[in-house]
Amino acid sequence: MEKKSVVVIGAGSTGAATIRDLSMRGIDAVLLERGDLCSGTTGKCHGMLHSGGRYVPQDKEGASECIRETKILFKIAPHLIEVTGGMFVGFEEDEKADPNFKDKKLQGCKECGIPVEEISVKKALEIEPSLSPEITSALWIPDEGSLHEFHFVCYMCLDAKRHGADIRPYNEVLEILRDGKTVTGVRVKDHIKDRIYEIRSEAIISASGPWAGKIAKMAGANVPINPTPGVMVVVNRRVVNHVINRLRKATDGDIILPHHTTAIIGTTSWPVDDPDKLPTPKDHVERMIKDGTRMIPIVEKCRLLRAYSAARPLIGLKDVPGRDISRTFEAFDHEKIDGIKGFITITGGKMCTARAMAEAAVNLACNKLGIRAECTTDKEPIIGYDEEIDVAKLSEEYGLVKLYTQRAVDRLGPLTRKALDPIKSAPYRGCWLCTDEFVTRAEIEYAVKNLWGHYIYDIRRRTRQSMGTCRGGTCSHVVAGIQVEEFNWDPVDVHADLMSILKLRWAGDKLLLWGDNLRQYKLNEAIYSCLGNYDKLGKGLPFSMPVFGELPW
Amino acid sequence: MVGKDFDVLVVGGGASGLISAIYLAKKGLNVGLIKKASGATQMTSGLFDVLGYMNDELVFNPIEGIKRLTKEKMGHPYSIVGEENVIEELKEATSFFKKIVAEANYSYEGELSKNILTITPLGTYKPTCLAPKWMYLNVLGFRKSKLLFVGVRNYVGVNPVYVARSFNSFLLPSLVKIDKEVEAQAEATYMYVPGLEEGAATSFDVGIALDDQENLKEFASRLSKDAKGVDFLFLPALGYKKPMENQRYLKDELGTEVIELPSVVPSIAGRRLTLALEDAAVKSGVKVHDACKGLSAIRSNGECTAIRASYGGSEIEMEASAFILATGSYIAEGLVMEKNGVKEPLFEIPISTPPNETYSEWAKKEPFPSAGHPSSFFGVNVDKTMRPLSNQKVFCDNLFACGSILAGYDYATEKSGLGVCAVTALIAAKEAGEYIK
Repeated sequence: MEKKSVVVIGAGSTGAATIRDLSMRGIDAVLLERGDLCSGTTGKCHGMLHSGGRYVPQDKEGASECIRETKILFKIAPHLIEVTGGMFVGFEEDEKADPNFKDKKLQGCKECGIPVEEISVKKALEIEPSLSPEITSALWIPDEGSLHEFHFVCYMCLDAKRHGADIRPYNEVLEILRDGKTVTGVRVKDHIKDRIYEIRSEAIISASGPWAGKIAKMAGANVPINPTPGVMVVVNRRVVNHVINRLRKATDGDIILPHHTTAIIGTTSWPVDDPDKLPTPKDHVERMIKDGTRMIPIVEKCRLLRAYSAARPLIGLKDVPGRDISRTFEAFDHEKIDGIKGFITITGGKMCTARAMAEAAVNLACNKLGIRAECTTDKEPIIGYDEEIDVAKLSEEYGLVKLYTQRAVDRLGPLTRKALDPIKSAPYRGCWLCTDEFVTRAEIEYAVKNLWGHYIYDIRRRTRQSMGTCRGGTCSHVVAGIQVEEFNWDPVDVHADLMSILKLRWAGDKLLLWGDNLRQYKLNEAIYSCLGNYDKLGKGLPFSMPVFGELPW
Repeated sequence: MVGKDFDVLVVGGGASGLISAIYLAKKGLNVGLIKKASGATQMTSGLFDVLGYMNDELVFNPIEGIKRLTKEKMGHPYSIVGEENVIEELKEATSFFKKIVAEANYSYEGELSKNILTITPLGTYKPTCLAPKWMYLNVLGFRKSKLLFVGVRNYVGVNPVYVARSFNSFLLPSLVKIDKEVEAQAEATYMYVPGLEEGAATSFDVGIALDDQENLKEFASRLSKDAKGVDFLFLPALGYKKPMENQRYLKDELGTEVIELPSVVPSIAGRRLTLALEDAAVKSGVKVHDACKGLSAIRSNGECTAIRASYGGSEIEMEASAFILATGSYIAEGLVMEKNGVKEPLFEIPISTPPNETYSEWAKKEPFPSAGHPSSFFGVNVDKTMRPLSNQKVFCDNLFACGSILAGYDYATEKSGLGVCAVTALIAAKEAGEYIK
C-alpha cells in the first residue's frame, strides 16, 4: 500500500500551488487530478493578473489579496506573467447609472493599496488607440496584466516534482477512505493505465475549485460552493495592449484583455448545480461580442476564434448573486466544521491568489500533522527563474528563425534550453509544425516527455499548438504522427485522439461559425473529410480521453 | 454586340472557371477570365473525385452511383444536369479535362466506371476516380505487396511511420473487409533529399529539389538499399514541374513502382493542377486577369452588361455578352456566411436558407459528420442550363454558374468535388456559347 503524508486533489492553480508549497516544506505529498493538469477552471479562465482594482469598492478583502499576491508574482513568476497595465473606462451611461462610482473606485483602490491614477480621455486613447472614442472617463492601474495559466500550473508542478512531490494527472479520486470520522486515504483510478489503487495518507487537501462540494461530499463533509460559470470569447488579434475594464459596478461583458497572441472578452455569470455540465449559451456569446464592441469597436470586425465557459468557485449562499460574492478564499478545516478529521478544503479566490491559498491550506495541514516548517513560496522563484535568455544567440545555436525561438521562450521561459537542446544533435527536430504559434517538433516532444503531455489535446495546452487561427487543422495530424513515431501510440488510438482534439476544438468554434471562422473550418474539412475521409472512417472511433460529465456535443 | 470587351467573361480562377474558359476559347470565342487569386483548387489533393459515397455507402462505379443519385437527390447538380444527360456530359467533361491538362504535360489516369481507393497522408484511405498518373493506385489491388513509405526527414507534413503503421493496423483490416484478397505489409523510412538538407522543408521544396537531375540521381542512390524487394514505394512529392519524368526515372532506377501520395494542405498537387489549367488557359487564348477582384455586376433589362472589378488597385468595368460565375464556395468567398444568412457578394443572387435559422443551426454537433453540415448544401440554385435562379425564375438571361458555388451537394462528404466542377463548367460554357450565337 502506497503511503503519503498528504494527498492533494485537483491540479488547477490552487492544487499546483499547494503541492509546491507542501514539497518545499519537505512534506511527502502527491497531487491527484482526474484529467490533465489545468483542465478545469484555471485552464479556461480569463488568464487575468488582477491588481484587485476590479473588486473595489465592493470587495476590499478580495482586492487586497489580489494586489498583495500579484506583487509577489512579479518576483516569483516574471516569465509567466505579462504586466501590461490596465484601464478602467467609463461611458456616459455608466456615469448616469452611478455618478459617484469613479470616486468610490479611486477611494477603494487607495484603501487597498492598489496604485491608481485618473487620466484624461485623450491620454487614454493615446495609450490604447483601439478604445472607443466615446469614453468619458478613464483610470490607469499599472499592476494589471495576464498570467499564462497553463504554464503557471505546469511549472509549479515541475517545482514540486523537483522537491520530491508526485504529480499524477488522469488519476481520479473515486473514494475518500475513512476510519470513522478520520480520513485515511483515497481510492484512485488511473485512467491511462486503467487500474484502480489506494493511497494511505494522514491528510487530504481538496483544491478542486467548483468541484469542492462534490469532493467534500465523498469525505462526508460539506462546502458551501456555488459553481458560477462565465462565458468568454477569444478575438483572433491582440486588439488591446492593456487590460481594459469597464468603469462601472462589475457586471457582464466588461473586461477585455490581451492574452498571448489573442485578446479575450469576458464574461457573464450565472449559477449552475453541476460544474461538469456547462453550456456556452448563444445569447451570452452574442452579449460578449456586443459589450466588447462597446469598449473596443473593432472587435465586431475581427475574426472571433472561440467561445467557451468556465465555472468560478464562489463561496456563498445560493440566493446571493454571483457578482456580490467576495473573491476572497477560504481554507475549511473540516475537523472543526463537520468533525471530519484530516480533511481540508481550500477554495474560492482567484488564480493570482493561488499561492496565498496554498499557504493557508498547508499551514492548516502542518498544524494537523504537527509539522513546523515555514512557507517559502513567496520568496523562491518558480522553476528557479534567474537567467536572461539571449534569443539571437539561442537562434544561432539551434539554427532557428528568431521568431520561433522567441515564441518558445514566451512559453518555456527558463526551460527553453532544455526543450530545444535535442535540435543540436537532430536538426530536423527544429522543424516547425505550427505556423500560427510557431511551435517546433522539439517542443512537442518535450511537452510529452517532461511536462506530462499525454493526449494531443493536452499537448495543445503546453505548446499552444492548435490554439491559433488554423484551429488544429494543419498541425494536429502532424502531432498525431509524432505520437506514433516517437511515443509508440497505436495508430488506431491516435486516429481516435486526433478526432477527439478536433471535436473539442470544434465545440468552441461552432459557436462563432460565420465569416472567416467558417472558411477556416472548410479548409480543415478539406483536410479531414475530403482527403482524410474521417467523416466515414472516423465513425466508429471512440472519444480518446476520459469523459467527466457531459461532452460538449 | 459591338464594342464589348469579351464574348464571355468568366469570374473565378479555380478548376470550374478555367475549364469553362478554356472550352469557350477553344471554340474560337473571345474569353476573358478574372480572378482575385489562384482559386481554391490549389488547396485540393490533386485527386479528381466524381462520386465516392452515396448515402454513406462506398461507390465502386461512379456511373452507376450517379444514375442512382439522380433518382434520389433532386437538387444535386448531377440531377439538375439530368439523368439522361449527366453521364454523357461527364464523359465529355472528363475527357476534355484530361486532354487540356495533358497539353500542359499533366496526365490524369482513370475511368468514370471505376473508383479506386488511395492511401492518404493521414494514414487513411479515400475513394477517388481520376488521379495524376504518378498518384493513381488502387490499394484494393495489393496482393502480397510490400509497401515502403519514404518520408523526408525535415518535411513534417507526411509522417511515413504514422502512415505505414496506420496502414498495417487501421487500414488493412477494413480493406480486407471490402476485398478479402487484399494482402500487404507496409514499412517506413526517412531520407533527406539532396540539396535540401538544412532547415525545415515544405512539399514544394521537396518537389523542386527533385526536379534537379543531379539531386534526383543522388536521391535514387540513397533509396536503392531500402527499395530492394519493395513493390510500391511512396513519396510525399515527386516533383514540381516534372513529377511524371521523375516517377519514370525512379521506377527504372529502383525497379519498383513509385507513387506520390495525395497532397495535404499546403498542397503541391493542387498547385500543380492549377498551374496546368492556367497554362492551358493562356495557351488557348483566354485573357487571364490575375489580382482582379469582381466587385459588382451592372445589370439592365434582365441582362448583365458588365462587371465592375478592382484591377491592380484601380476600378475598371469589363463588358461581355455573357458571364460565367465560378467564384467558388466559402473558402474562395464565392459564398460568404454571415450570422443570419449566406450571401453571394458579386451578383447578389439570393441564396435561400431555411427561414428563422442562423449559423448555429447550420452546423451539426460533430465537426466531420458523414452526411455533411447543412451549410455545405447552400449555394446558387440553377436550372439545367446552369442559369442561376431566384425564386424559381432565371436571375439573369446571360449569366451561368458552375463549380462549388452551386447548391445541393457537399463535395467533402460525397467526394465529388472535381466531377461536379468539370461537368457544370462544361455545360455553363456550352450554354454561354449557345446564348451569344
